[in-house]
Amino acid sequence: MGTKRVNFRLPEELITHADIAAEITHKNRTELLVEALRQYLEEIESEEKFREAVVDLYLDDQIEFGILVDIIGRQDAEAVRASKEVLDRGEELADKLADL
Amino acid sequence: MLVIDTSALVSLAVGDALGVTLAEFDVVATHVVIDELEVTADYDDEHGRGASTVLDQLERIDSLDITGEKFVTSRIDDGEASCVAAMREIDAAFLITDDYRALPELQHLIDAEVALSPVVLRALVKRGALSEDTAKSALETIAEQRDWLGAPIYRYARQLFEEV
Repeated sequence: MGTKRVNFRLPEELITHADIAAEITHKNRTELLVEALRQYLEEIESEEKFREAVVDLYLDDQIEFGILVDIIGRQDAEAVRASKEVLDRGEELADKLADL
Repeated sequence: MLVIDTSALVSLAVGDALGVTLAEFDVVATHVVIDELEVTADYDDEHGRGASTVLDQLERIDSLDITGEKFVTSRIDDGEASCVAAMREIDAAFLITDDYRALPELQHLIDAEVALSPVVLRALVKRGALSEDTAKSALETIAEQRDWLGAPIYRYARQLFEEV
């Protein structure tokens, strides 16, 4: 993969900390930021995949609603539960809709 | 008569099923929803293109000038709130939304049925207006645009077409 020059602003104290960390680890600013961003993206992506997999388990009736709440939070869990209920009634609802 | 909110209109357009939906059903939206579509249409992504597709077919959608500020919450935005007001105003049979996060609250506010866009696809198949394969392919296309919460829900919706 190639590289591309980007321009963005960073808080001063973050730059100061980054420069100290770069000096100690013998990296330049770019290397340090690339590594930090890669780590962050890996973390967030795996977290979302994990959450998605947990939603799949609930939809597949393999875990209880309470566990879903613990992992993805009550509001999103309620969204999943309500969606599941609508889709479980999907045939009945589609019949009603088709008869309009 | 169905009221369809911004999220579901965009889903149906992304799945290339909006035209047949508008041909088969009397669809109502609100001015607030149309404003949201105009904002979404500025984005250079699938949702933006979906919103533009809806705007191109506006003459086939009844547009109601109604707002629903009193229904706005942290989960129900202005567009959905206006749809709640529209549902009450015209006594529509269905509200179609793909905003899962707003769904539980919308169900509490509306006496009529609240359904997701896959149910519309299923109804179109039942009416013979859409082939099952086309409906499944629409579902797949819509699912690809969804986040970690929406993608599993769309995958789950496949069962509507697998038990036929």
